[in-house]
Amino acid sequence: MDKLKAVSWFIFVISVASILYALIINPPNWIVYAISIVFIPLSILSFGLLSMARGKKEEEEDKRKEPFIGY
Amino acid sequence: MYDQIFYLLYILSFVIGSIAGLVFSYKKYTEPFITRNIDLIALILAIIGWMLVLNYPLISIIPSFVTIAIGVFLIAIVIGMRPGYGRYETIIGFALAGLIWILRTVIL
Amino acid sequence: MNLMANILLNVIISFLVGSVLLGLQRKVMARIQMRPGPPIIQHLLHTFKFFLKESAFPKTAAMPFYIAITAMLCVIWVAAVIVGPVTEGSLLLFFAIYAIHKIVEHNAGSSSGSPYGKLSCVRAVFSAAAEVPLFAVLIIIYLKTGTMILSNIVTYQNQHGALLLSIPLAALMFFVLILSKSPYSPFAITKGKDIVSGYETEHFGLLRGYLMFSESIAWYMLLWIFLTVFIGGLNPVGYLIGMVVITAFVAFINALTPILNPNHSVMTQVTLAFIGIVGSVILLLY
Repeated sequence: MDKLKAVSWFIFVISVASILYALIINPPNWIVYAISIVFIPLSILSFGLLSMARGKKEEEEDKRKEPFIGY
Repeated sequence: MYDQIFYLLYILSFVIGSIAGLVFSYKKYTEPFITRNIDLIALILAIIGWMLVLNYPLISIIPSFVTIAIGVFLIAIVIGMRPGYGRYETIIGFALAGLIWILRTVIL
Repeated sequence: MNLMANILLNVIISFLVGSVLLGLQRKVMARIQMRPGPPIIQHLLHTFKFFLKESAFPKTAAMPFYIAITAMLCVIWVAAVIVGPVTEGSLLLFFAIYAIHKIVEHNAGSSSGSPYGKLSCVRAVFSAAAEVPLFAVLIIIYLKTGTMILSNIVTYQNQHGALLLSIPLAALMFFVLILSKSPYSPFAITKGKDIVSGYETEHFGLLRGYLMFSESIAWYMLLWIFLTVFIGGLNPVGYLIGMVVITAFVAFINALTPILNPNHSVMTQVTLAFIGIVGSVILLLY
């Protein structure tokens, strides 16, 4: 697993765990606000990073090049 | 609290109904919108759907949120059909159900 | 109900309803332009589709910032959902959220490294002229009702009637704000097609889907605030009908106007703001 997938899994598991923690154990309100503001977006972002398609390794350099570099 | 859950149920049934309507209508109609015919199945679904949503107190056997959810699903199938189709069926369904609603609430 | 469950429920509802409303907006625009238009569900399906597409992160992107800024957009609009439907808190927080939205537009453009992004970044700062009417609306609401807390504003309207009737020019200024945030609007200079897609140009695939997710929530929240502050005391069916009516009206305006060039867009918004502020002050005094 390359670095991006590993980091995404890590963030996804932490986000879902903290959301479940806030759902099951009812912490004080300010903790719930903090968890929801930070971890709901992170969970969606990491889920997206896990679900996105990846191209072939050798084509990656071509896709990352931009036509306007070098002016 | 339950209000929000029912709201989520209705919007989910709208979304799923729209997707279902889109998939079925693309299989059924191969041309982009040319004809102006009214499709019988869509008309029946629209009439039943709008009836269930606007006149849900008439059906007391099942809880009202189930009636409205099924009605929204049927409405969404007709609204979500391939662009161009489903307009006349929706308007006819809404008009008939609205008529019954007016009879029910204003006159009686 | 559990607070976290309430927040999650409201976030999901605002995403789904916001996406369907944006799809409805495209549909109404298309019908006015005498073409069938996409299905109403199209915006939602595109948002899901983008999460499955391949994304390439360009070489010129300022790396963790380029992804973090899209997460920032979601953070502020989830915060808006918490301040709005969940806790009915202070309107000043909405001003802060709107200001940070401007900052996100600016930084998403500049962090991508593309010239279209940089142009959009500058235009986002330029179009902060739309912030002035928002601040004026908040002050006028405070002068009229004596509070900036949403629940108190709703109580005020239950006793004294809708604010739409007593401070109509403030409602007009807020409507211009909603208009400037809608797709294809005459004031949408940050995303105009002359700069391809503005600050979203270099955010492909997953990040584009993520931005669309946050924008759906933003659209729902803008309409929710308008309906709560200026009409108030609506049940969920009333909110839905109100949102559909406003969306259709906005689509009507968007279908018939071109995108103004940046100078004209800013001057139009400033002129409308001036009329709104001076008129509201006069109405408040007499």
